[in-house]
Amino acid sequence: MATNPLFTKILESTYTKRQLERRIRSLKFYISNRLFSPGSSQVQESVDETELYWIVSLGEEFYANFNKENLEKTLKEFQEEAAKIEPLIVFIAFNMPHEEIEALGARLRKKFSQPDFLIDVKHDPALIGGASIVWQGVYYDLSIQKRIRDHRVQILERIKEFVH
Amino acid sequence: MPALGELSMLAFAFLAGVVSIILYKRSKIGRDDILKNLQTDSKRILESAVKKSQSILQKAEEEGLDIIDESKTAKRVFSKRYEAELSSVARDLENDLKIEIEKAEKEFLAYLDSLKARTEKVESNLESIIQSRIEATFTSFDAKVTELLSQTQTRSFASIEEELKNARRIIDEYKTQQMKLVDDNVISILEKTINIVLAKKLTLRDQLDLVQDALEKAKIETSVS
Repeated sequence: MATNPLFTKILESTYTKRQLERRIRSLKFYISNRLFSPGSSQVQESVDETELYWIVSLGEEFYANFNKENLEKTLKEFQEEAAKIEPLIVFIAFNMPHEEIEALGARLRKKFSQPDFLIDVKHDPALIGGASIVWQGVYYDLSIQKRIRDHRVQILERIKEFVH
Repeated sequence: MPALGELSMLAFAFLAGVVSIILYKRSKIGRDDILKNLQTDSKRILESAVKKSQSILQKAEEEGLDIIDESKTAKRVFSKRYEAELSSVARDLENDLKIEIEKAEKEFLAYLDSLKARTEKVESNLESIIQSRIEATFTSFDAKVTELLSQTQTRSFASIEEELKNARRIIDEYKTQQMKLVDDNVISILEKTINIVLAKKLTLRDQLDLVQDALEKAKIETSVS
């Protein structure tokens, strides 16, 4: 459970580990520009539109907590907090759209009742369908491929019956 | 006897010497007259002694010759006797030797006969021993060959059986491996086919539902909370 309220605020709308790491980097870039180069257009040019929308969505109250002195230290704390979180690694057979990944993360967070719950989605076409996960170092295969392999004997018997 | 003659002569010479010495001593006492007489006497005595000695010598020679004749006669007699004795002894010896030789010959022949008999017996014994040993050797050899053949046969059968067993095992293993390979290929083809078919047939919603179901199951199985 995150102890820093600013980090908690970031986690509220962030559902994947990669997204969190990318957003911390974007925040650093954005806040640095705000504090050291106000009025610069570098952020608009360099940061993705969706990410920029998210940065703005955090509100001025969030950014009021940062100044030139605590910026580095605070962002370093964010990185350390982020490193502590062990995500649920999810292997899926298809390329899931970004918004669906977020929706999945939100659903799982709600389902597991953990506000700092993160997922890390990876692509594995061999799974055919369903998903396999890695949680706390243990691999759980719940894919269609696994179901086929579990029923290998029966499937082969059916095929042999069909062939003969 | 010539030795006796020589002794007589020596004895006579000795007596003559003694007499001469005596006369010489007397002549010392009777001076020249006496010496003359003595010389005359001694001359006469000497002449007489010479005569006597010559007579003695002659006699001795004669006696010696007689003795020589006797000894020659005795020698001839003795030789004849000796020859007769010798020929008798030789005859006896010859007879004895003949007898001994005949006896020895007989004994030798008997010994040879017994030796021949013994040799034949030993030869016969040796033949029977050799025969029995050869038979025993052949019997033993036969038994060993039979045993060896039996062992070899048993080993060969065991080896063949082992080889067959190994071959069967290898074939079974190969068959099992090949069947597993076929099964793996079948499953792999099935998976690929299902993957291709489902990729075309399943919508994003269906995929998301499958993921959702999987995660629901994961929550139950792993108690993620």
